[in-house]
Amino acid sequence: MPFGRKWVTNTSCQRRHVPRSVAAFELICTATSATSIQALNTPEWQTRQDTCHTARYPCSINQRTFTNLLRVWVIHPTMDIFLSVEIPLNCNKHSTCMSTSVSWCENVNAGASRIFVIDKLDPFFLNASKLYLSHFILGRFLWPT
Amino acid sequence: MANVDHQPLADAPLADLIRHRVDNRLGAVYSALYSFWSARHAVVTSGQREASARRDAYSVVLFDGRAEHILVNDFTRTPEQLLNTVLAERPSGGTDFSKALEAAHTIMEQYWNTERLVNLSGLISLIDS
Repeated sequence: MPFGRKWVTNTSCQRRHVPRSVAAFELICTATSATSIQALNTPEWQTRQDTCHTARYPCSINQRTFTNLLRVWVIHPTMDIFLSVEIPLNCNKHSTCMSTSVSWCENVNAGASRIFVIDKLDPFFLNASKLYLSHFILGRFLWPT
Repeated sequence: MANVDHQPLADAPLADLIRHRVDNRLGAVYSALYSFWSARHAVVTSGQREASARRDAYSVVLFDGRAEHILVNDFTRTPEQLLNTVLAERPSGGTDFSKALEAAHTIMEQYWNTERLVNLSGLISLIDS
């Protein structure tokens, strides 16, 4: 069985299964208005046969909401840890979020299995309790080149 | 319940097609998905590879009160074909997160590849703009 032995519960998240004895599994939670999302390739990485994607979020919502929205979870397959990494924000003195982005890079030749999970009813965040599934999730498995 | 406070970008690729079919929040997500798929496709084709050589496997799970596998472990469809696949789906009621996770879980197990590499270094890079 590629999947692990227990559920991990996080107070801010829905419970989810931990992959164990498997490769890294990454959830990239893209949030706020999808109209602001762009996927870009960064030239310096292309020269290394890598590609980077950047989702940029110009936003008009307040910092607290935005901090809640943008998180990335990484599950380490061998240590059974559940990390929640908040993406740094670029905010002005009034704590109004100006913009931020999430980027990830990968070898273009490696390939990945990507699972997009989309809420048909309301694919944007309503509140923190519906944190990471309210929008679409890009689940990524990696395997070697 | 198809909120229209967010819509596909008017100047995004295939925006007219998306807006004609799903001119609401879900359409905005489809637009974002298409942008991602197109970006990946451009990278692959720029390397003189055929579209069928894509090593990314795409799966799409849409959920409301229940979850559906719209696309499973696909290696061959073009971005346009992928978009047309999801455009058939419209907003509907209910939100069952557990069913969505279960559906994703099923795909992950069913199409698991033991060759996958554990490599967390460089897996994620976070920057602020």
